Amino acid sequence: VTFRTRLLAAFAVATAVPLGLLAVGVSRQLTTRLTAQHGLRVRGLVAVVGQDLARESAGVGGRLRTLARSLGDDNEFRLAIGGSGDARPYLLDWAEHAMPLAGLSMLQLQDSTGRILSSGHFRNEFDRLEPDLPRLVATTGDAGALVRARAPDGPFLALARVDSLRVAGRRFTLVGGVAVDSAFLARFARGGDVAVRLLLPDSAGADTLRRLTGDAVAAELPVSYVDARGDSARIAPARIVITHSLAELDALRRDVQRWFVAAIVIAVAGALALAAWLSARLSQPLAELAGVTGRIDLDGPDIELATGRDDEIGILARRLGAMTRRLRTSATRLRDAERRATVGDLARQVNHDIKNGLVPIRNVLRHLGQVQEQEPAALPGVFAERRSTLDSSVAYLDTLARSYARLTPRLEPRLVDVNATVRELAASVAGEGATIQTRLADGLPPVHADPVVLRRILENLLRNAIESLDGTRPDGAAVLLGTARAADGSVAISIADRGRGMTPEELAHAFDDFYTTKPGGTGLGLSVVRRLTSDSNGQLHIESQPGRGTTVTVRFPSTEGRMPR
Amino acid sequence: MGPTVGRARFSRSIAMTSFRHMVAPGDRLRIGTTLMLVAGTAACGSAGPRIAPTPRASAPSPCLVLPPPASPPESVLVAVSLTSVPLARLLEAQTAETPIRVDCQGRQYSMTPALPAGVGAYRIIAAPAGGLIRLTPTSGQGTRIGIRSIPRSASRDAIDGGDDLVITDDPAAIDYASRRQELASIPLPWQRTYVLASPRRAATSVADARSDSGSLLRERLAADAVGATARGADLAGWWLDGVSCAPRTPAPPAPPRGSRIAFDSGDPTARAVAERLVALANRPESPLAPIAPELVAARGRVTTAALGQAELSAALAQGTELAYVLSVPRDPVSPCSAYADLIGRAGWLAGPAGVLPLVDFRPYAIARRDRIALFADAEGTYRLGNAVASGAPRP
Repeated sequence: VTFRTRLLAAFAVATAVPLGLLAVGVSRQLTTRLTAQHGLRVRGLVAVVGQDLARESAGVGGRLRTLARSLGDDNEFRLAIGGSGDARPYLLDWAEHAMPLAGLSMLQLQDSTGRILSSGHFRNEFDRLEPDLPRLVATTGDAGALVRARAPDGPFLALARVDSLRVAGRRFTLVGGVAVDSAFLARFARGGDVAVRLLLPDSAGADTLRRLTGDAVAAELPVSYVDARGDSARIAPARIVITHSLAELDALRRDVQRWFVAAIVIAVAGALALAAWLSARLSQPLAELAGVTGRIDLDGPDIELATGRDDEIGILARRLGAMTRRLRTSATRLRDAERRATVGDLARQVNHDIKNGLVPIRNVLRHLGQVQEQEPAALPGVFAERRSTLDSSVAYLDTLARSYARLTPRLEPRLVDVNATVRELAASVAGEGATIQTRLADGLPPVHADPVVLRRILENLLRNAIESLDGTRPDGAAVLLGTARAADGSVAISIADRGRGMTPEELAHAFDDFYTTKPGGTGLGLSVVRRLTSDSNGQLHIESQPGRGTTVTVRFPSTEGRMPR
Repeated sequence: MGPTVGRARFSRSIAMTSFRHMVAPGDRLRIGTTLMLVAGTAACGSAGPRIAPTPRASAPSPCLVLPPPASPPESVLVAVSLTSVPLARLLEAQTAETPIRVDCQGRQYSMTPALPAGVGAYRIIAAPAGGLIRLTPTSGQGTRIGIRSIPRSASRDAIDGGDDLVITDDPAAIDYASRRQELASIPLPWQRTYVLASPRRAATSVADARSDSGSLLRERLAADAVGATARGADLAGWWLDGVSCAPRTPAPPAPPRGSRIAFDSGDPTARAVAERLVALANRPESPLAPIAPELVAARGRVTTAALGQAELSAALAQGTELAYVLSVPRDPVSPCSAYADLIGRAGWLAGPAGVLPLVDFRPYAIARRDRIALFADAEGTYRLGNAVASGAPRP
């Protein structure tokens, strides 16, 4: 997990968790407040409905009072009840005419025996005896009663009141009311999500109503119910149920929740984007610093690590820069020390080698000097006798000089076709007794190296391989030169022989200078190979088993994607 | 139809010829339908028991509702309440004469032909849809007549508006006219009978209906529920003659689906009768028990059902309602034809127990004095104007 990812996760947690908690808290508060406000509104509507019912009942009562006064002053009515035959139609039609004028839907005039004299809602129901209706309605007082009254085309429901008057010493009763239908109830509800329903004695209960409608019961107002459909009127309790639909509240809640969730999602998304930007911004200097640090090469050119930042990253960069400089200095010093040590060793070695080479020469020259002084005539014979020693020593020194000269080549790297180099090398050693086999991979990219150095590396290794065959495989064993492309893209050149191989001890000192197991060897071959390989940014790998041969692999980094220089 | 076919075809063709030329297309269909019904009724009536020519009646005295004015005006306005008499029939009576007439007693007589056969005393010169229909005397001399139809409730407005004659069944208008000296409020001959028809009706109810209580009930029903335009109906109606001349087995009605008494929603008299029946049927001790036990059997559940004409016709044909209040001609020239028409509406009405007559109905003529003459016969045919008197009855 990268530092940037960790930062992003930390920021996400730091923003999402508080926002989530805020969302839950605010959502609960909103729901609670909405529900409370809805409840207050419903309670207010319930109170208004109750007042409206009382007002309607009072209105009916007032209209009946007015009709009663009007009837008391009506001479036609007085004549009709006095038995005047001509006035009977007037009496029969009176309620039919008076009912709409009074704004009523039900009006009935009865005499003291309960006989219907005139009916507005059922004009032709005259002469029916119905004394219970006004008596039962009268028991409900100012509240009035819900009356299930008869009409020609079926019963209907009315909010009824009762009044009475006396004319000519006789008592008459007026029962009147307004129709209670769906429009009447809807007017109470005033639209919206509140509904006013009637629960009559023979209708379903509030629970059933709630189950059927899905609404919540806000209040139940008791009201008396008089059923006048049968032969005699009956009174029973009924209820006006005020329900309120939760759909609107639920919809409001859902809307609020939806918008709130949308706002939270946007906020979280914004926070995450900010966190991503912040984490990228915070980690970028570190990533850049890491990148620059990765390119630090103590042997390479200086890389500036210091930045203009004044924060911790700037301090870190500056300190890394200082540390790099110190390391570079130390490395330089170390390299100088190593060089000096190497040069000292080499000087001593050269001194030793030269001395070794000069000693025979000096001895021969001293010998020749003595012969010249003592036996000048024998000098040519002695010189001829000792000349081989001189030649041998000079040859040794010459070889030594050439060997030392090869220790410090000057690199001129460029792109080199490895397969071509290998083929040239194989061809150059043809006819020296060893069989050279090649197994070259196709499509190899060129390597970036000094072609002379590459040739020297491969030549040394091939020469060692050929020499390792001497005396061990007289049947002409082959040396295998192979090229391949490794999985990491690097180019591998392998020189495999089936010579005598090396013991582990020999292998451990194989790259030491002047270490050799061959008679007449300088012990510089593999040492030079290692140095040249290292100078060419290559890697050297050797595997060997005594009696089974040695395989040396040189790897050069891929040059794909690199511009030739 | 036998020998009467030619006469029926004749009067129908004459009437339709003049009808096409004088009536606007909008009214032509409605009036034409009525004309064909009248012609058909006359043709059928000739085959009935009263087809034989009756002795000469002393015309026009019994049928004269309003005497001709001493100085006829140039024109008069007539308003006809929609519920009192069909306008098309009134127009047909003025514009198409038939050789045989019926007097106000129901007796037939033939007219002295003052005009070519089939041509009435008046002809229509303008008949705008819903407007004033103008008639002028065919002879070219006499009072011109403008006729318009009005809603029942507009009868008093027509009186106050100056109409010379208002034919209406509005009780308020009749009462109003009786209080004004310059107006004559004259009852016209009994025109229709409202009957109770019920698929559940039993034949035994007929006898009970003849009882005194039944008669009293019908009288009270007419007086209290309907008013001045009604009276208790006579049980010995023409349908008994119709049953005898065209016996037919009643078709079984469909099972009643409810307990409603159906009636034509546009007929206030039928509404009043039906509502009163409902009120009486739902009483604990219903006075309807002797004459309409099928209603009493549904006590507490009986209601009215105001149906449109098409809806009523369909319900009547199927017999799905508990009962029906129907309007039928009170004294048709041909009981057989009327009976055929009745059972044609519903096959289950066949038989003597098919209908129970309840109340007779008649409209009133409210007229300004000395403005227009009016003749009425037993068929409910009203003839207007002085030109009508020119044709003298002859044996």
